[in-house]
Amino acid sequence: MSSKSSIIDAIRNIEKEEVHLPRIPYFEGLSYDSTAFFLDMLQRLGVEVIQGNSIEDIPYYLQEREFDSKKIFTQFSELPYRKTLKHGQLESIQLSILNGKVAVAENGAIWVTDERLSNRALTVIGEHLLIAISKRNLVWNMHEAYANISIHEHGYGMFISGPSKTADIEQSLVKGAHGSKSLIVFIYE
Amino acid sequence: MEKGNSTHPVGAEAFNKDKKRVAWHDKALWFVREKRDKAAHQIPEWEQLRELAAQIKAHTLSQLDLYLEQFEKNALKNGIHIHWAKDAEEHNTIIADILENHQAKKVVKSKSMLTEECGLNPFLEQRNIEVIDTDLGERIVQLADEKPSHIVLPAIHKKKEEVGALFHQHLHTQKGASDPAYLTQEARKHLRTKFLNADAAITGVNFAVANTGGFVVCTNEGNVDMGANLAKVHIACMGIEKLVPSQEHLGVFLRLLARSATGQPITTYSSHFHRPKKGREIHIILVDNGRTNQLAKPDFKSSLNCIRCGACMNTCPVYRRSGGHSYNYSIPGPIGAILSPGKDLKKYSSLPFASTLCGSCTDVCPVKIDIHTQLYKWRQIIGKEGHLPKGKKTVMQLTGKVMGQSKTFSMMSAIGKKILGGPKVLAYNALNPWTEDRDLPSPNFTFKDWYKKNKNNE
Ligand code: SF4
Repeated sequence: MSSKSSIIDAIRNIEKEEVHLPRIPYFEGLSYDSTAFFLDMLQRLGVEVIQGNSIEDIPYYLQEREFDSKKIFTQFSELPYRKTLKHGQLESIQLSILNGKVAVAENGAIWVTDERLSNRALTVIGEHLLIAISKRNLVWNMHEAYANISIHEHGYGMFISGPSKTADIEQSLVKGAHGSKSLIVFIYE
Repeated sequence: MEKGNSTHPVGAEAFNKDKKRVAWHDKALWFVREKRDKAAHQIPEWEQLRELAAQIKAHTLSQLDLYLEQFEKNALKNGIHIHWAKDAEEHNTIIADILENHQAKKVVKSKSMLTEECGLNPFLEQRNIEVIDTDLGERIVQLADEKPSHIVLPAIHKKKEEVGALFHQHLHTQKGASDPAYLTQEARKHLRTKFLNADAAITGVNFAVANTGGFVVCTNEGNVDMGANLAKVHIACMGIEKLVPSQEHLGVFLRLLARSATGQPITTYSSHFHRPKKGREIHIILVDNGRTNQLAKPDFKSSLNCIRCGACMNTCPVYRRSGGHSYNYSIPGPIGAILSPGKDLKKYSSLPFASTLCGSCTDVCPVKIDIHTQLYKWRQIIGKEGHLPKGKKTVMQLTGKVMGQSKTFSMMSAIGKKILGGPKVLAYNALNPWTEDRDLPSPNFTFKDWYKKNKNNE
């Protein structure tokens, strides 16, 4: 007998009570002002926030910073940065600019997917990360977030809520474990 | 897997030789417990979420055969390879075969308690495969040739000076350096080269979704996404109990998990994998290894609800003062003490006794496992089967050491009063080695009073 059938049969042979699957409510938000709550949460997560009008404004905000524009990757076709990478370029990416689909006020997490993501590691491998999110796509909590996305629509998707971090050495919080050392959230109209 | 057959009292006694370290360990974990409390209290529906989580788990387990089949069907449609393993050996062999097919010699692995349970690392190392644990805490214990002492904080027992010395020896960091930021940066550099050169990545699974055929892995470091996205082959190992019916259920668990684990509102990365990238492969190994046995035990099946948040460890007065290694099982603490006897009653017979039955684990558990009741029930079974831990005396001595003050005894008896209809039922039960040669004070106040009075002293 295959291991699959032995496992399935073993489960089937157990006498089990029927248990109903509960309905999941959305629950209310923790404040009346989700935007303010979101911004506050990002600050607590050590995230830098830039507010702008549209995606096209991003280069303007980045010009002051010390990024080599050849080493910036983006998912946005309208931005003047790299959309694809050649072998060996991945490791030297300084900034990844990702397209945030849904942002969650309660925990600061933003949903990104592998759409126009030439390599999935670009979610973490860039030295720094910028996620652009429209104010219109802010929801309260994870229940609402999942009601607004389809997790199997993309082969890979993730909620990101800050720079990569660890506290594995004596519980001291250090930013920049394996993924990006900093996160900028660009909020546009 | 575990080293030797050491019992909890023996391990705890060893840990208690260094009093200062015990106090430090105790405090570090209590700090995490307090962060959990703050995070939980911010959510008005916290109790409702726990109840929902418990119901979703109970429902899924009640139809686990159907959900597993549904999951397999959908995952296959997504182009994911599915493997079934009835035990640890089969799990390890399947992985070795996949690696061999790809001539993979260098493997990066993110945190997976299941691979610890199955003893995967030594199995692969014997076959000349390099396995690098990439979670910083796990890398630290790997370099030290130790096991994780906690499921969320694998190196919680290590001081930064010890980490500095290890890194100096293995990664050639500056001698005497112990600054966590510096050491973390050095580990980042070291592990980047491992990620970029890995032939395959092994990860765990936090949740698998039956009706979409994908899975979710949660980390703060980003090591799952570095590993799985850079290597050609991604092998995800999961116990069969990790399923949830559909994506809406993830909302409940993701709100509970990080808050319970570290007090964060969510982990930095919650990665959802549904299809491999073109030219790449994703394999999922569905592992039983004793889970169907546990499912068949009505008193213990809810232990399969566990989402591995570690909250029961952080809150446990015995765990905090005896250290994760004293349990000598891949999952330490209260949850380990109710899972391990299902695996090997005799070998782990001392673990259900590593508890005051104070019930704090049950109170914090985000999926409402009645941990302390199950500990008590295992004690009864162990007594009946004649596997009572040999060194009862040692247990008694340890009790004095671990618990220190009699206040915890009072707490235990008050709880006993509440749950078991009177402290004497608990105290004079022949199975309780702690009461062997001392009488308990009659409690005249409740646990709540005690807690209020003492929580600031903890
Ligand atoms: S038993 Fe509960 S508290 Fe303990 S690790 Fe599992 S889910 Fe967390």
